[in-house]
Amino acid sequence: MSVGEPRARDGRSATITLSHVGKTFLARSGATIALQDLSLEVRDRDFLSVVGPSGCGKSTLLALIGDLGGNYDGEIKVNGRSPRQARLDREYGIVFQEAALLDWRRVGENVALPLEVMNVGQGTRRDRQELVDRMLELVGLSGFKKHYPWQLSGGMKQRVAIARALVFEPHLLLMDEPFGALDEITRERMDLELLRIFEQTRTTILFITHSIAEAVFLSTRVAVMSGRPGRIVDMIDIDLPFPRLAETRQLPEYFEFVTRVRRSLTGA
Amino acid sequence: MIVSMVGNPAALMRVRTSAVSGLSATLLRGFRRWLPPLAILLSLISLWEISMLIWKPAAYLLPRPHDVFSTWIDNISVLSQYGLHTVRTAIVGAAIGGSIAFASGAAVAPIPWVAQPCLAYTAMLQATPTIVLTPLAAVWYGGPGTAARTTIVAVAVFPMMFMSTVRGLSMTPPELERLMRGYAASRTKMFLKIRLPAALPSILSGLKVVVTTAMIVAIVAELFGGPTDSLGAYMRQEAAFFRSRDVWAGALTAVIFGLILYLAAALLERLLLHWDPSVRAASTANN
Amino acid sequence: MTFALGQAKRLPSGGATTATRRALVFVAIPLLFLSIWELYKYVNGVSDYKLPHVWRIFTYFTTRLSNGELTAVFLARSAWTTALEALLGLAVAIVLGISLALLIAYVPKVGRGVLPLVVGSQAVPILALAPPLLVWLGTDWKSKAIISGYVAFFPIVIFAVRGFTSTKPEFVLLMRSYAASPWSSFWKIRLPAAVPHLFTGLRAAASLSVVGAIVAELPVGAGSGIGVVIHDAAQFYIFNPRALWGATIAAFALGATFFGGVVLCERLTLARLGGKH
Repeated sequence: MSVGEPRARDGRSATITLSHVGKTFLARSGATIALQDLSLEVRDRDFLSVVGPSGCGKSTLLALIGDLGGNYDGEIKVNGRSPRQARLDREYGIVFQEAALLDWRRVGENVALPLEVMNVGQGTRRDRQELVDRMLELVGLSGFKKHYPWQLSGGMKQRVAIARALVFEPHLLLMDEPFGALDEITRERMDLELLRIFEQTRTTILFITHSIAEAVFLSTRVAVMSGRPGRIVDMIDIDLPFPRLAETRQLPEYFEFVTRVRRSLTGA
Repeated sequence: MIVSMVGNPAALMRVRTSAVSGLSATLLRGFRRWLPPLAILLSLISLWEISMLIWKPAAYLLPRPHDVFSTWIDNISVLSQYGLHTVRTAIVGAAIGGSIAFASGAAVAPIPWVAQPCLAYTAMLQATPTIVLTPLAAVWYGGPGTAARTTIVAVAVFPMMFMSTVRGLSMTPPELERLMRGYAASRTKMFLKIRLPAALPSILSGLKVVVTTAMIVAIVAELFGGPTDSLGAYMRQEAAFFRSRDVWAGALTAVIFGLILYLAAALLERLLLHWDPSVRAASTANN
Repeated sequence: MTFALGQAKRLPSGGATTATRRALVFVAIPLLFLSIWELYKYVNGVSDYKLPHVWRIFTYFTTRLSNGELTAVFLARSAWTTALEALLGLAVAIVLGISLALLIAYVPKVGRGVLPLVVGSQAVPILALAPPLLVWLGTDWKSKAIISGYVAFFPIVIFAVRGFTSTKPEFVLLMRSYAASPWSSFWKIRLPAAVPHLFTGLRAAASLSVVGAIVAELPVGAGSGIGVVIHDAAQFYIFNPRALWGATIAAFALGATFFGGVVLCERLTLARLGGKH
């Protein structure tokens, strides 16, 4: 599979390695084993989707990688560092299922939030505005900089969230079912948008979804996760050509991959 | 979803409900919940006591805690009697004001263009110091007696109850309305079976506020004069004689009765709304 | 998140005719009230002593006092004195209330102990404790402000705590993913998100501060606030019944002004923060 010409990079790559990771939740009613003996590798410039049934721990997996959960067994390395260090070094951007935009800020100000928090943009407001403008152009919302979130549709809000996640130019993007709350037509459109962004920015993407079709369409590799306790039961390379367009969904190879993933999923 | 998996880091005061609840577990939970505030309260009281020893202000200004307590114990039967009198004023007033509020709220809620102006006026009424009507009520009833006080409580309680009722009745889920219409249910049936139960959370939550307000308003109304066999009047009288210990003992009684009323309302809420998830969550949190 | 103003949930509104109906009802209600007043008086023959005619009460404002001052001006002046006491009390309540709320919200161990006490403090009849407290603190305006502040303190704390602890979990995680400093998280997320709640508490506190100031003036009976005027008017009711009605109306106007002021601030702030309402 080819992802096209890489743009100039500063030599950093984005990788995630999980080795025999386990996570148990303790509650008054007993212990829940969310993840057990989970091993996974995300390579540089992968678009890796994790598919699995509901409650299998996909979101927990993402949380642990982002150091947004608690302790875990096993080893996780993000760009060669511990998740905590990666978070402190601001190595990744994250997009949730809910856009989580600040209602009291305009779109442009929302996208600028991480820059303000991280003191990025060489300190000058003009540099920050340039980054914001560039991101808005990337997600196709240039004319909406002055709008407020309540004026936007669901799909547009998620695009703002993506712009916000990428504005400080991380090499890694974590996405937790970002299009799950959207209707199918919007979702298909957003998939195409996301692929365009992926190709343009060469960001490594870890994508959680419960839609097999979406996983196959977007990814370079698909990891199939089992039900609780969650572990990776299969890893499938998706050899579909880039750029991926709406027509790709008609290819016989596409259906084959979808069937393969489905078989892994239901067999697991 | 990542958020539900990770849990809510912002849940600063959430105590999880246990699926298993034996008597000992409930007691332990109650004990653990009430220990911190009690501890702080006791330390504040000790601080008070100690400060009194150090600075020795005149007794008529600020009494020592243990003096207050012993005075309270000494007069406990009288104070309880007065307390009950005040409570009666509060409850009767709340009942009258509350039922009128409920009835008018129920009547007005289905008609938005009547309900909205009414809500605006009740909001204005709530914003204003209704207690200052007490002297006027005293004139009306020919004297600052129980009747005047009860009326003031009723007026003070009305806005809150009215707003809770109207708000509650407008919260009926539309799917349920359509369901009942499909059954060709009569308006009364619709009200009793759907609207009213759906409105209960709002109404009962308002009731908790109403009950505490009623108690306080009753006491303040008693300050304006009238029969002295009630807490507010008693406190005023003792204050006039500079018997601060008795004043504070009266206040202590008022606090106790107020808390009892609030707990009664909370218990009622819990009983009637045991099915409502927000009530269950709230009942375990500090609210 | 909606910055919903007003305490009632939005009821469905119809088209133009509904708006006209609403306006009509709005005007009709006070007229109805006044008509019932007069009707009751007429039917039951209530004396002018107990229940003066409506217009007589309004003309009272135009009468002059013994020193030649216009009654309306006198009442406004008294209300102004009370207003200052209430404002001071409110200001103190806001500062202390929000500080305490921050403590409760950010230090759960302390919060768990303190919050029930704050809730319980509402049951303490401070207004009844006012007389001895006033003797202790002195009978000037400062002590009245303290009492006013105590009464206003409670809703501010309760709603501020609610505001600071109800941040959406996604926001918290987002800030964590940015490795944001606690100050950054507070200033950029928690505080703006808490603003609607803060104003709800402020609205209640504004009315309570007025009540506190007025009632604090009553036991002393000396001074120049509107509470004192009411007290005197009540004592001398036989001589001048309308005085009590006039003073009461002035007190109501004071409370309404405070409340209106807060609502105005709320609208301005929310407009600046750009939320829809």
